[in-house]
Amino acid sequence: MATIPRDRVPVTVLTGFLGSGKTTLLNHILTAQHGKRIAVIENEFGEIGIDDALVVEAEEEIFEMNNGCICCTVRGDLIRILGNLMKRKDRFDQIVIETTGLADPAPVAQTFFVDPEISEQLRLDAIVTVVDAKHLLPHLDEHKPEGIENEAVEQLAFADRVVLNKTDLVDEAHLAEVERRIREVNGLAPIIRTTYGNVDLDRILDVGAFDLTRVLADDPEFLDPDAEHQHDQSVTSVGIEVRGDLDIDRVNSWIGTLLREHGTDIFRSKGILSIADLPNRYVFQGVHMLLDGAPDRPWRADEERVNRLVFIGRNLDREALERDFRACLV
Amino acid sequence: MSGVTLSDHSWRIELGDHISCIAPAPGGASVAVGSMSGEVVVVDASTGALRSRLDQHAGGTLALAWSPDGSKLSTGGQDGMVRMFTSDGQRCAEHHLGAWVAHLAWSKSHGLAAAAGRSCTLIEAEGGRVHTFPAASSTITAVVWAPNGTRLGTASYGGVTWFDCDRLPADTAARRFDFRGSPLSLLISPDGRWACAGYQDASIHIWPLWSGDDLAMSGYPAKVEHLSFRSDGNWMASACLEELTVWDFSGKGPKGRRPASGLDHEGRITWLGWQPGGTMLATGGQDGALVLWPSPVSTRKALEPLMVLEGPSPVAHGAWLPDGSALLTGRHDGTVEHRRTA
Repeated sequence: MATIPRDRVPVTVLTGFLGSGKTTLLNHILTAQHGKRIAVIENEFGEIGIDDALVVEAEEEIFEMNNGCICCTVRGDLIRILGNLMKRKDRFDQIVIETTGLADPAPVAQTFFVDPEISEQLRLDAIVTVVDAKHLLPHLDEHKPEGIENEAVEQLAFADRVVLNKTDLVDEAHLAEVERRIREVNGLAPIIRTTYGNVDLDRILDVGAFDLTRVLADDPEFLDPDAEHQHDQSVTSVGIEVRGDLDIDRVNSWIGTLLREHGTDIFRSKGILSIADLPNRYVFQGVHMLLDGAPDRPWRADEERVNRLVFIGRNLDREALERDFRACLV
Repeated sequence: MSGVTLSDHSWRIELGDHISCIAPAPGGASVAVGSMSGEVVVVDASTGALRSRLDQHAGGTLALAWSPDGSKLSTGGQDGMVRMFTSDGQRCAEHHLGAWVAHLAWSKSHGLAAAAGRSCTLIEAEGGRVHTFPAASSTITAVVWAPNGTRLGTASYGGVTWFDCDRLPADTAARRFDFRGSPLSLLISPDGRWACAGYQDASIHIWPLWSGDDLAMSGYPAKVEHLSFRSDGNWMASACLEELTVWDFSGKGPKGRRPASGLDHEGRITWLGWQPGGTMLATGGQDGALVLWPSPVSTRKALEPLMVLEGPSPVAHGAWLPDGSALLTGRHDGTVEHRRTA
């Protein structure tokens, strides 16, 4: 028999606007991780100051997939480049994909769901979005014509970790407002304050954000939907917490219909479910219509069987989501 | 079980890294092998003895192709170079095409087509650069020549573009097969009746030449990359994950017919090829196994392997000698083995 494949190599996706400090953070990663073999796939010219990293220039090629999932796109260039990188004998300890400032992170993430050759050798570790404390708010408030995405909002919505950079350029009140606005979009991603991209790397690398066994391991923080100062934000996070056991058929049909009909608007979803007659927790996570789920550890004797779900998306109807979810209880 | 088997390997060589391509010369006397470390060697087909060691492609060798008369060997790689060598290993041409040179295809009459990134360049058999076609909208993933040897097909996201090379510069596509998907491979049946492409979106597309029809076979569980036609054109094998699927192309073709399938690998199939002039099909997998299959008799019954040979490292690439007398397999660990059919 062939040798058992070695551990899958973690891949970090680094997104953020030009000027947010993405390249500074990347250089910090390469310096601090000195001694590890790191491959960087870049989509725009950055000044990487480290010679021993392998840097591959990629031209973003986004391909639609005719698999019944209308919002499913993959990055054809990444499939080719990553496939070739993994053929080399000198394997990498870490791969970082730096996207262009205006990139939609969805095709990158979906590539790892869709391509078996990629997913058998590599694992998507986390989407890390770098934002500039001073310039984030104008980007979020920028009015886009109908049908055009606000990329700053989208990159926040997809993030597993938000690096809030250049905190020295603004005062505490401004920082608090920036954080509140980030939370409004994404209630899941921990926010890491920093200057000069100088982040404790344990907080952004090898964090297992797409690992099913760690779904909702970081306590999400949701803003009170009825609070004052709520901004007119079409992309928001909705958290649902409901006690009780679910009818497996009903919940399957609900989530299937939801993603089929609203998958384009739902960027990320995660959940821990209590299924009737199943002694284990059922965990899932998804990107748009692509969903990955599995039974997790058994519920502990002293643990209350509570269903917890989070959706990050556009024009989410909080009441309808919760009402329809409750209808799946036995 | 039929009496056809493969011998223990009659020779074995080791290169430094993952074998990326194996190309037996048309006459069958020598074999060119390339690896991801960039090596290119030409060895004697019957003994494995080194005949020549060619210039390396920094970053990795991606493509090897012999001219139809066997007098030239072309090589392409991640360094963006395409090179041409005489059969005794002397370099006779070198062109820097920029992007990864990943696909090479020779025509009997028009020389070598070399695809690098989104562009395809025509290089005459003497080595001179003749023409670069207008760039495709995304990276070219396969290059083929139609049976007449003058119509060149390039596959990229969105379809297949055909250029007629008898009147250069041929900058206007002679034909296009449009399909909004990402093709991973393209081949033409030996009888010249069909063009087939494997797709990222878990399907294959089949075009009867040159009717303009587009026949899609979907229902595969994942992407389909590897396709191979039997020499008589009657069967086409495709691989998806661990499973082999064989379509009946005899007569009116595969439309409305059930394919035969075979499941024996315990890992993704990474290479497949029919024995030239024969009825046997070989598959190699991520599980390290090399499996020999018979041609389907009925598509109602699952195919049963003729022979299974387990190996120490995933199979990366393979090739039959042109007369079908031996099978060459290359592995991730850089070994190449030669086995005779018995």
